[in-house]
Amino acid sequence: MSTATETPGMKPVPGVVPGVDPVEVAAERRYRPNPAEVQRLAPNRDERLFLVLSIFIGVISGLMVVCFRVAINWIQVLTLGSSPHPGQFRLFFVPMGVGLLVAVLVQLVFPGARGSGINQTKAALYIYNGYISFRTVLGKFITSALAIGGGFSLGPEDPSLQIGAGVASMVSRRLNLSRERLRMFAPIGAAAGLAAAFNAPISAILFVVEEVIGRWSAAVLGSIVLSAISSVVVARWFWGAEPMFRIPVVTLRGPQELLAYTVLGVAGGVASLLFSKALGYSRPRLRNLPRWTFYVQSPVAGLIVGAIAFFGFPQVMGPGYNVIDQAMHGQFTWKFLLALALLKIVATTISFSSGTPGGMFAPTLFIGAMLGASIGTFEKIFFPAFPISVGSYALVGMGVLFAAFLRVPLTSVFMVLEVSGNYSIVLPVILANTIAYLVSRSLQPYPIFETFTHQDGLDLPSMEEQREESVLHLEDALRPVNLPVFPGSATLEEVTAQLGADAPMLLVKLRDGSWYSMNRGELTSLTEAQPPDTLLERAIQPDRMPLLFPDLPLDSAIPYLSRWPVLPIQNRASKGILEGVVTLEDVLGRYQQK
Amino acid sequence: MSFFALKTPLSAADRIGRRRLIFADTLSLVTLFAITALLAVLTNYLYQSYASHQMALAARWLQRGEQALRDNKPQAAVDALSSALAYAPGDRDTAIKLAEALASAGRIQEATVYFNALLESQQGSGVINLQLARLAARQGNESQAIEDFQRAIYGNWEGDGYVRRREVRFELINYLIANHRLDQARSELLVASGNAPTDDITVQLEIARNMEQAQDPSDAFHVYRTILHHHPSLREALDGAGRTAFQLGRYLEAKHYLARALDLPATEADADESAVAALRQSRDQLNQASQILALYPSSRLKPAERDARILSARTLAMARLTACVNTKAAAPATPTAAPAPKVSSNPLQSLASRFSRQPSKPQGNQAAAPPPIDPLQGLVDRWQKLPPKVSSAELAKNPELAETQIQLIYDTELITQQVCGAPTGDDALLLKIAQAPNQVEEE
Repeated sequence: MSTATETPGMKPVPGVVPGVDPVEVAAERRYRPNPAEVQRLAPNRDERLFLVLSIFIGVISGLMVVCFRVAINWIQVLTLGSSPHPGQFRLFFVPMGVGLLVAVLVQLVFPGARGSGINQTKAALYIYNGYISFRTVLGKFITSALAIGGGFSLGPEDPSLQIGAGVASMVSRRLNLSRERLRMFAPIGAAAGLAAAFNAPISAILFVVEEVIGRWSAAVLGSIVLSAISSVVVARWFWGAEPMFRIPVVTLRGPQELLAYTVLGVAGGVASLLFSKALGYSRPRLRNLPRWTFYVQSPVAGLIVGAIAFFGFPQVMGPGYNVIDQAMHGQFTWKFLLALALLKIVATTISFSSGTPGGMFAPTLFIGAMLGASIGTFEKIFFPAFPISVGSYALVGMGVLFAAFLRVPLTSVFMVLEVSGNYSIVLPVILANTIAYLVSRSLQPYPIFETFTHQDGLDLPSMEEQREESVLHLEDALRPVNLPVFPGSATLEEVTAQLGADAPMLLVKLRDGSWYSMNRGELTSLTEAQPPDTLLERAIQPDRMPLLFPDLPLDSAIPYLSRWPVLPIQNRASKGILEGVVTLEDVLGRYQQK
Repeated sequence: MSFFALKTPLSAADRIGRRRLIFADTLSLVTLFAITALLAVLTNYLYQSYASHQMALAARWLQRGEQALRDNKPQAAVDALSSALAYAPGDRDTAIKLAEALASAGRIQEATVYFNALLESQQGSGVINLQLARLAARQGNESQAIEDFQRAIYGNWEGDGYVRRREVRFELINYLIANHRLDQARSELLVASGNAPTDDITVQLEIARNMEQAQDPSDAFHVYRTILHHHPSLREALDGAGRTAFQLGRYLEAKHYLARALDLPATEADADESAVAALRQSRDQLNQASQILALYPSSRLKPAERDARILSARTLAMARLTACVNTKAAAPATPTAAPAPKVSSNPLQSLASRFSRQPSKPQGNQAAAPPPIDPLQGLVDRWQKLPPKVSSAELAKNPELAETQIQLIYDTELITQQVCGAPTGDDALLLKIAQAPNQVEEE
């Protein structure tokens, strides 16, 4: 198998994404039966299978993610012991040993397992028609479980997302679905994997829409929802319906508290900048080191993380959900919380940049929770006039880092609401997240996943840009009806006589309220072929113009402009009433203006 | 267009191909279902194994934490219980124990935060409010502690709520007594007394003891007597009743109860140090009560004996007054004070001469203020109005004189105690009688 993408010591090949083996893709394509033949024999087959498979994908992804989390916890207990505490020598050496094992596996057996899994899933969607190999899924499962369980400061959510996408890819391939459908299954599986890992289906769906697909698509949204809910049902069957954290009573106790949340928003923006810069600086440098260092980077990262744990901060190891829970219940001092936030940035930067498989969701939540709880505790001590609940600050802090670091503002808001189950906190969440997001955007032009994409030499679509891209509509290219309009009851002779010499086109309004447009050439040929007293509505071609309205996308007009010289745009409320017309020049001119 | 026209016309080969496709899809879906089922079974097995291991770990760490708490190793208990909680995050008892361990380890702030967090999820929990009350008490936050104790009393308790509420109330009472909030303590004791079952001797004894500590001997005596009504030979109750009767000045009853208590056969429990001290105190009080009753001019006595006691007490009181006047005169006074005159053979005359001197005139332009009334002077005046010598016969003839004598004796003891300090010997006993003469023989 070729491993050009991740060959140690070599710069990544532009256009080839880590985690996807082109040879495997090609092999897979060779054995696919002819989808056109399938489509001819059973035209609705794909559509019917799509929803059924979405549920299967959700269930299987949910089961896989449960196994994944169980594996992480088992490994954690077996390697770090059931109660890691500072001063235990195993904290020092276990991450190093696990790092060595993971490095060997990643370099020799599972080269596609490197990275978090988000960009790999996006690449599968945009480059490889939704293809993710079984080997990559297996490798991601094993190496991520080892790394996270062994104490690396990484999280299980992003790998779960890729595992889910991989499950979707495998299932859909076996059923010989069309290429379009195959491509759609990657985000469906991704949503299922993330939903199961997060125990929060809405956030998972929104994340996939915001970060993987980039746009709302009705065609795929239903399946994403189905698979996400299926996977969460499975996960809750095992873990229970309780949220990941014990959420304290969270309320906004007064308008003056918004000021404190503003501070949290600014601090979150700055912290995310620090985190992004650290990752953006260290990751490419470590990847450009000689090949042999790829075997050493993970062990050294493990040693550093282990040292942090050994010398007093074992909380930075692993995903740290229990620490988030404790911080949310105000069990740490503000200095300790701040130290944990900073050390987590260091530990995660080192863990991730070393190429150790694992995600960044959990560390992001961890840093946000620590920062929020730290600010909350500080304000509670030094500004007793503020009626502060530390738990709410930790909760909002998680959303703040999510919005600022991952740059998914909508998901960040819903994530907090879904995790807390409390809508009374929506105002501070929106305020703090928006501030953090704006601070991060103004200081860091590219979101972190886009930075990684550039570092990998890929050119995946920027979801942030896509989200903010203004979609043009027909109304944007509309122009007034400055053409001669004739009723369908007019004769060819009357039309020819009344049509000005300089009018290149005309519109015909038919009895049933529909419209017909023609250019002067068509009128001339009609006049030559028909008697002069022939009514216009009898003389024209039998085909009719499409019904187009001002709110439709601008590109919806393009297919018809090869047949019709001008398209009438009608009012939705009053059939037959024109809002204006568009021509091919109008449409192209509007796109060029943009 | 007809319904049949909608169907795609398929050739025979196409139909076979379509059937194959349907079969292949069905087979794929069945296989997928089988894989899902297999994966579900495998996941379930893994999860059950993991969950049981988690439970075992939680139980193991909980056990270690409890052992560490028993061994008075709070820091080790905190570590162990934190681990237990990590494996059983929803376990309320473990969370409470961890908070207790934090408090024991001196991490009061963390423990408080922890308990407050627990309270948020379990509003009105008696256990948590009790722990918060204890923490507030340790932090010296009296008002918060009392508030939390009250919340604990009226909070939710599982199972033995009645008993736990009573225990918390006793804890609150002890806290109030320790912080000298005796009025509040007495109020709580009255509530506790009203709620306590009369047949529960342990509770009744504790209420009575607490009432004594809250300086409410009257109610305490009442409770002890109630106990004795059901258990006449209970040593603690007899001791308590004797002790409180003694405090109330009911020396006849004190003697009665203390004598009964001391007559009871000794038990093994009497050997310890506190019991010995209590026994000694009971004996002392019994002796004092006997002596007081021997001095007390009871109306129940034969007249001759009563008069003899009055005369004896009169002598004591006069001597006490003389000593007090001399002590006061000998004490350094204002520079203008005249030297003390010689004491004449008649003590009352001598005393009169001491108090007959005119007060010094005010100097300069000082306003002439009325001289302060000296309580001793008043006493001397009252003594002077009585005959200098009184015999038993005179007292027998004149009961009014006897009563006046008795009253003056008591007043003398009371006033000299105020002016010259606590007396000793028989004067001290007379003083005790004087403080509540009508209660001495009350039953």
